[in-house]
Amino acid sequence: MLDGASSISAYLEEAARLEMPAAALTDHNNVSGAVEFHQTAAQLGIKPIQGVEITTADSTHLTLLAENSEGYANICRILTAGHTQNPRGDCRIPWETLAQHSKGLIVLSGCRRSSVSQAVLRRNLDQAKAELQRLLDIFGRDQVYLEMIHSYLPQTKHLLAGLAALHESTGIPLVATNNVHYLNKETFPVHDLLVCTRTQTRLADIHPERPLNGENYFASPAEMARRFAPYPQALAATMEIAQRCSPALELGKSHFPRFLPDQTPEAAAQLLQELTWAGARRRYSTITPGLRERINHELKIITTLDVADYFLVVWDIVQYAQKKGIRHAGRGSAADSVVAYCLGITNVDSYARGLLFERFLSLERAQKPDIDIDFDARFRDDIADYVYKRYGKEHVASVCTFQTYHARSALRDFGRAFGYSQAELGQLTKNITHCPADGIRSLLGRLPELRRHPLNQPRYAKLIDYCAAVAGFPRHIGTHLGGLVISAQPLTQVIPLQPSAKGVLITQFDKNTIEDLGLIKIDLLSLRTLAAVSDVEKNMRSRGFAYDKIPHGDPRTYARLQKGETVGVFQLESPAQRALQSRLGSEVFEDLVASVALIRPGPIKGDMVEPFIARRRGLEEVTYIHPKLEKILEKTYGVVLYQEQVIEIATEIAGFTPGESDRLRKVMTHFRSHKEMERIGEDFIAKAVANGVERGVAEVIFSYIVGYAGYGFCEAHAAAFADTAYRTAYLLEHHPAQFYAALLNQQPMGFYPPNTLCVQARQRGIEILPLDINCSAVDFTADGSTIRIGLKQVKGMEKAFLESITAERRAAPFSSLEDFIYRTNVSRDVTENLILGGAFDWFSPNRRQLLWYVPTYYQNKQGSLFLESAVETKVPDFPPLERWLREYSVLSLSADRHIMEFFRPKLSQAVLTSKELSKRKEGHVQVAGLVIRPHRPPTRSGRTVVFLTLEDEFGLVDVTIFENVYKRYGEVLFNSPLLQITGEISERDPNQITSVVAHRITSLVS
Amino acid sequence: MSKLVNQPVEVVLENGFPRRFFFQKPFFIRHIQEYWREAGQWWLGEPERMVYLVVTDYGLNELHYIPKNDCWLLYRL
Repeated sequence: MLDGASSISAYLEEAARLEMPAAALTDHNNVSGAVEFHQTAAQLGIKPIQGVEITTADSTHLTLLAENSEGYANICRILTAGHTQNPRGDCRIPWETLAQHSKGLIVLSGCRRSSVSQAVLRRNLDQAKAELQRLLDIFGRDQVYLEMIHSYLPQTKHLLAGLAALHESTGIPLVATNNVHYLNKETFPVHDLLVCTRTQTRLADIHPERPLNGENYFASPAEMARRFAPYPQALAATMEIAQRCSPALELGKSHFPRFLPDQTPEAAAQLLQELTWAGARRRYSTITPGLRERINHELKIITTLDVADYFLVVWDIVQYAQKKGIRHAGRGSAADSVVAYCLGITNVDSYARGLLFERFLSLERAQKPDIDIDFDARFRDDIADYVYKRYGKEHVASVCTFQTYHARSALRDFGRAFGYSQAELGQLTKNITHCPADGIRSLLGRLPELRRHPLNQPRYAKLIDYCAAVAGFPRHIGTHLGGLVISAQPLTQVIPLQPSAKGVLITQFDKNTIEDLGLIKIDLLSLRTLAAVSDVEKNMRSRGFAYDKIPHGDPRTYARLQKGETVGVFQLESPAQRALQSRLGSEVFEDLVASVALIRPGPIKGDMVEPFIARRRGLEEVTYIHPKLEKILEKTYGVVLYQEQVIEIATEIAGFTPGESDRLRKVMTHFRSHKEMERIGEDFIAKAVANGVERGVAEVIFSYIVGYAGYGFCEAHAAAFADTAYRTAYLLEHHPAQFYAALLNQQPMGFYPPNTLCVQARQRGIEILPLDINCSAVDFTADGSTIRIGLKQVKGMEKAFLESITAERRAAPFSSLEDFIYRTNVSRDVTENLILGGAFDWFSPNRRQLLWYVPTYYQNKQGSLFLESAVETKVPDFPPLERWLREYSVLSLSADRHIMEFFRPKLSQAVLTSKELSKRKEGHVQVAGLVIRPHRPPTRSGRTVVFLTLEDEFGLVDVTIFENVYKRYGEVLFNSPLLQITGEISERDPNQITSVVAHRITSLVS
Repeated sequence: MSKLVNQPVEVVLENGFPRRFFFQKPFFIRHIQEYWREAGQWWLGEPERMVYLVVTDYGLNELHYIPKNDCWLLYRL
């Protein structure tokens, strides 16, 4: 990581151009690139040799090459030992480990940092021989080579001569290698910058790992022949090693464990059948012939693909969650499966919805299943622990992710290497939105708020170029949010493991490559929404409330949805969703499923939102260009909305098999070029015409699919989300105080910050009670129509402090600030934050005065020789706005007032509140408020449109800023927290919640 | 005791390697003890250089060649 400045494919393409028959990948202490290397090399006709450069226990380097699959498995074991037996990030392989796992490995004595080369460089040939002998003892005489690297470094001449002398005296063969870190010399600065990042140094600093020159490029055979002219046998040995090594990765072989390890695979299939039919009898009142046929169809595919064990493993996890009362919900394309529904893995009746199983699993695609399950966020790790215990720690690991370079991270890392101060780096990354590292220039040219950005200065031009060079490069390894792999044999035979920052072991392969290795990922995700609803259920259980028994079709819930008052509702709370709800007039569950899928880049760009709304409301006739489409698109009023529909269209119109159709869907979802799309279109149209469809009609139908491509949503996934969306809308309508308190306890989550939730709660008549050192619980607590702010909301609050406060309070309430400081272990900083948050207002409303007492109380508590009495001077409290700002800074919300209450008196009467605005349906208006989440989603026209919400003391105002206004006011828009906006009320739809189209934007703060 | 010179010199090559140079007087190179390449402070615009430690009748000398400018420097005498 951070040691190579070119991609694997770039190296291999160059190797192919130079007609090299083999190449070896020897990254430092990892094999993360092994799968990509293997696959790309195979495509280019190059033999891939898997290897690694390791750091030994005495900090020297050694190169290992896998001669075969046994050698690769030993590399995995060796790396795992090195990573797990040392502090994180300091992989060192014990020599004993090498001795234990030496089979199938060819060893090269290593680079300049190897023990042999170090001894040669110290002119200690006896020591060099001893080090070489150690390698011979561990790996055997036939497995060891003396590695010669010529990178034009000082003492290279001496080193190579020393190695040759060793060869003369021991007979151990020489081999010439090239220590490649980048493709060509021009890329050297990028490598140097990456090394600076890895070693946390600046370019001006000296560090032993910094390269002295730019000679570690991919040298041609002719160049290598020049460098090693005196040692032709060393060059010849490279071919000898290449011939000895065979491709060591065994891709595609299944490593998933048998659910019934002592029995045949048929026994697992039999058990799955039994559990499925038992589940079917529970889920359905009668099993109709159609349902029976569907279940049998799915079971047949599952058995043929030999993935019954996978279903059983997931079923077992869900059973455990149910036993423990941990709320869960299956999501993703698994909800297309009736078997998954019968097993209780998902809650979407895919049979009733007519969903296609082939979207999830098909014989033609023969892809491994991928089931995602959301769990109550608080207990997701308990579920993972169960899996570790059930299958053994050696057989389970978390999947890693590679955090790749984007604009901000590249600017920060490289800027730091250039020696820029933190303040300068802050300026350089300010307002640089999430974009690829090679998109900085385009961003500077596109966004008006960046017009005067410092990166526009010529002195930063090179920095921007270097950032672009690392776009998409891995920066560091992380842990996948939910992915676990389970393996039949110990995982370390298949993948190296290393500890994550959290302490769990992670794979060195990410989700995209573990499947190629024959491992299947199970996504056990944590969803805070499920934690919130579990909280509500727990608090309301005594009143007979059960989340699973929330009635379907509750009129009050739908009435709330129709008004677009959905802040806090899962998936339906964004401004776009609130607007959609008010326009769509959701009446039935299907409307919610469609809503979840509609506000997505695909339908928006494909211009499907407006026709859908118009047809749903009966304002536009529902037509079908071909009669075969009626059955497929009926539920979405003739609009292509779901991925399953794309598959069905391809099947019905072009006669594709379900598997072929899903391949089409996949290619389209990931499509990268118009040429590729044209080719698919020609195939689709030709097949449709052969199937009896008129060419013109086939072309129009394909245009529907093209419009949709890229970001479509799976109906099963939408239905799974819509279920949670409806239930959370019900909670919002019927139990708002409990629901808002639960949402506040689970922050950060959802679209809006905590203060917005408090404003919304107040609008519902719920009183937000202030922080109180004696009355506040750890969490936010709801009681009837009040919510009390919890102590954990205070900035800097720690678990130990909370335990100390609650323990002392159980003994007796605090009688004063002094009493609090004496009896608890809370730090001075957090005590000050508690004061600023209002926790001690009950003792004295003058927060500033209380702050003055704090140093004296802490000094006295620490046993000062002379007890000091608190300052008697009367200190005036903070001015109201400053007091509010300080409270907001420590709580991220305010109990009673909104910041707009301070600014309102200064505004003209013409500036409307959100409450006043909601009564207007048209005209020119002025509004003001706190800016919430300005964002630029993709639009149909491709033009930039900014959406933001203004929050005032009465609620929310959604604002749309079109490109011309954005270009003019972009700078103030993204740099001011409080705005006044002049514009027109949007008249797009009389049903829509009132929103404003901005014409003029000014800041309320100077 | 070596002396920092860092001045351009005229160098005569043989098979691509320095053979002799003239700095106030002619220097014949007996052999090249070591040579390497340095990237220099590339971030300040400094070009790459090749460093030759050469043994002459007058002792060990350090010659630098800057490929970008095609110039030789006597760096240390």
